Amino acid sequence: MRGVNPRITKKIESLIGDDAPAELKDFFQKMLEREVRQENIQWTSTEMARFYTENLVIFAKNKSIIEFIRGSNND
Amino acid sequence: MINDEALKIRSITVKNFRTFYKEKKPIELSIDPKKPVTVIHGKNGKGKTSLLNAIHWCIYGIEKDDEKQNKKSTSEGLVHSYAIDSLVLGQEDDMFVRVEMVDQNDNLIFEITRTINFKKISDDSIESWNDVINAKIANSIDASVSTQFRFRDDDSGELKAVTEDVEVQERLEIQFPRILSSYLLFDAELLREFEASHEDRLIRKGIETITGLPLLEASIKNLSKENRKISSSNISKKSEFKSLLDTIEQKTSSVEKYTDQIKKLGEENIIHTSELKKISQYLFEHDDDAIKKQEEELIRLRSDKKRFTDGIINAKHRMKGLLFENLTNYELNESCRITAEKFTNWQNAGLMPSHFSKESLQSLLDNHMCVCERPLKEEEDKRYRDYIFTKATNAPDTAAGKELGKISNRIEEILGEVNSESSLILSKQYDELKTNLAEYRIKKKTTETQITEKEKYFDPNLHDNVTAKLQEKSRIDKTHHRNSEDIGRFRLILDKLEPNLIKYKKDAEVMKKSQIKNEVIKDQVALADYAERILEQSKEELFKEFKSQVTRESEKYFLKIAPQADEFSGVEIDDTSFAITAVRSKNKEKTISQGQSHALGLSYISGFRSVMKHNYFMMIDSPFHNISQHTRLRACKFIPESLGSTQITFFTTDTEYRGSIDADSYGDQLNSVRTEMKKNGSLGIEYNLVDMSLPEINGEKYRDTNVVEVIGE
Repeated sequence: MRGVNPRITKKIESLIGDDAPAELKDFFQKMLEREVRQENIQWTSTEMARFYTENLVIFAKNKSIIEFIRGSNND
Repeated sequence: MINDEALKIRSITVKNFRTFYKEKKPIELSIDPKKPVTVIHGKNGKGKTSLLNAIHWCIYGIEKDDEKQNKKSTSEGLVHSYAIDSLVLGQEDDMFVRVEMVDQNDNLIFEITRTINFKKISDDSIESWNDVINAKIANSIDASVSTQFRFRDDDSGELKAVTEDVEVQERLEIQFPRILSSYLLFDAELLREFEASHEDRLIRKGIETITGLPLLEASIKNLSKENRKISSSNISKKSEFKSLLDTIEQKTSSVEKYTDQIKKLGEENIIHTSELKKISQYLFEHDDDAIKKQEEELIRLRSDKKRFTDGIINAKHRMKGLLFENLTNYELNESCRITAEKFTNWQNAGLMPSHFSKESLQSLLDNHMCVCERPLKEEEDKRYRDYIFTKATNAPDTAAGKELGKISNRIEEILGEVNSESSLILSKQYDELKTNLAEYRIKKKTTETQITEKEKYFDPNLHDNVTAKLQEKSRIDKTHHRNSEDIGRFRLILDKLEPNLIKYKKDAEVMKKSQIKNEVIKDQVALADYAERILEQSKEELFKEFKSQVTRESEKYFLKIAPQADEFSGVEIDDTSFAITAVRSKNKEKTISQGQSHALGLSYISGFRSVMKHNYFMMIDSPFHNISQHTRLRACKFIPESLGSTQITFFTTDTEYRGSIDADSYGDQLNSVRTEMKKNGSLGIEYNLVDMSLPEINGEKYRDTNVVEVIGE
C-alpha cells in the first residue's frame, strides 16, 4: 500500500513547528516515503545509503533549513 | 479512522474450495461507502466459515482454524471431495480462490489467486496425510500449490504480477502482515483472545505493525548510519572519534539487548501468570477438600439416581396395578352394559331364562336361536343342536350354563360398581402416576448426565494429573521467579548503561561540533542529528498517543454496546502486552459474561482499527453469536456507524440474522438484525448460502454450496 500514515506526518510537523521551512517538511516526507516504497521495491543497503547521503547533501545546502535547525538547537 | 485510503474486497471467486464444487460466480461485496455492509448468511454448517477461510487461505496460505490447531485427523480437505473422488486415472483438475481488492475509487490494487492443481496418477487407494490438500486422501492423488499476486505499481500505475513463491509470500506479508489477520478476518467467537491473560504476546507487535511506526525506526537507523559515516570521515581526531563511536555502538547494542530481554521476559511472565492462574484453579478444584466434596456429591447423585429409578419402577408398577385392577371398569364397561341390555331384552321377550339351566338351554335350542340372537342355519341346526343337547345331557348342571350364569351375575356387579364419579377418580390417579413417571425419568436422565460429568472429574489418572500439575506449577514458579530476578538485574544494568550512553553521545556531539572544520559537512551532520531526534521523539509520542486512542475508542464502543454496560467504568490496556481488561464500577470482582466479553473484543478491534495506517476491509464470522438480541441490534447499528466507510462483511446464521424476538422482558418488540440494518441503511448486499446434493460415488454422499444473492425481499 502506498503513502505514509498521515498521523506520522502530522506528528513530525507538529514537532518541528509551524515556522519550520517547507523544505524541511519535504526532507522528512522524502525519507519516510522512501521507507514506504522500500516495502515494495526492496532496494539494497548501498542504494538506501546513497539515497540518505544524497538527500543530506542536498537539504543541508538549504540555508533556511540550516538556520532553522541552529535556531532550534539554541532554544 | 486515521487514513481514508481504503482497501476493499471487490470480489471473491472460488472453485472446488471445500464445500464449493466447481467454479462459482464471483461473489461481489458491497464497495458502496454509504452501504458498507455485506451479509453472507446460511444455516449452520452450510459453508459460512469455509468462505471466510477461503479468503484467509488465499491471502495467508493457511486457513484461519489451522493457526489455532494443526489438526491432522479430518478427512475433509481444502479441495471438494467430489472433485477428487470423481477423477479418473490420468485426469486433472484445480481448486482456486481469487480475491480482488480495490481502493476507495474502485481501482484494482491487488489480485491474489491461490491455486491447487491435483491429478489422479495411480489407482493406489491407500490413504495418507496430504499437506497440500490438508487432509487424509488416497495416495493416487498428486497435488501442488501455486500463487499469483498482482499489484498496482506505484511508479508506472500499471498492474504487475509475481508468481515466485518466496517473493509472493514476502510481498503479501508486507501488505497483509499475519498479525493483522486478527483485525481483518476474525471469528467473533474467539474475541476473548484480546482479553488480558489470553494471547496477549501478539498484541503489542500488532499495534506497532498496524500504525506504521516501524517506518520511523527504519528511517532513524539509516539516518544514524549515514550520520556516523559522514562524521567519522570528516573529523580531525579520527581514531579518538572512531573509538567513541564504537563505544556508543557497543553501549547502544547492550541497551537494546537488555531492553529486549526485559520485554521478552516480561512477556513470558505474563504468560506464566496466566498459566499459573489456570493451574492454581485446577489444583483448587482438585485438592483434598474439593475431592471429598466431589465424592460426596457423586454419592448424593448416585443415591438420587437410585431414588428416581425406584420412583420409576414404583410408578410403573402402580400404573400396571391400576390398569389390571380396573381393566374391566375401563375396558369392559361398555360391552358389559350392552350385554346386560341384551340379557334384559331377551328376558323380557321370553327368550332368556332368568337363570341358566339344562332346561332353559334346551328351550333356547328348540327355538332355533343362538345365544347371540342369530338364527341357526338349517343345515347346521341339527348337528349343533344334537351336539349341545348331548353335552347338556351328559352334564346335569352344565358347565356352560353355570358359567353363563356367573358371567351374568358378574356383569350385574360390575355395572353396580362403575359409575362416572369413580371413573374420574381412577383417571386422575392414572394421570398423576403418568406425570410422576415422566418427572422421575427427566430427573433420572439429568442426574445421569451430572454423574457422567462428575465421573470425568474422577479420571483414573487424577492423582497423576494433580502431581503433574504440581510439578508444572513448581517449574513455572521457578522460571517466573528467575525471570523476575533477571528483569531486576537487567534494569540495574540499564540504569548504569543509559546515563553513560547519554554522556558518550554528548561527547560525540561536542567532538563533532568542535572538530569538524568543514562547514558543509557540519551542516549535513546537524541536519542528520536534528532529523534523528525528531524521528525518535515522534516514535515515542505516537506510540503513547496510539495506545491512548485505542483505549479511548475501545472504551467508547464497549460502553455503548456491552450488555449491562453500567456495570463498568471503562477499559484498561496493559502497558506491556496491550491486552484489554474491562474495569468494573466500584472495583467489583466478577467474571465478565460471554456477551460482555464478545462486546469487549469487538470494541477492541474497532479501537485498534482507528489507528491503522490504512482503512482495510473487515470480515467477522458469527458476529451475533451467543449474545442477546438487544446486543445484536446495538452491534449491527454501532459497528458500521463507528467504522465509517470501512467495508464490513458479516458471516452469520439465518436464525441470528433473520430471527426476531417477539418481546423482551420489558415487553418491547425487537427487530431482526436484517430489519435493523435495512432500517439504518447500512446493508449493501446480502447472500444466502444454500446447498444441494451431488450424485453419489460408491454410496458416498456429496453436497455443494451455492451462493445466492438475495434480491428484492
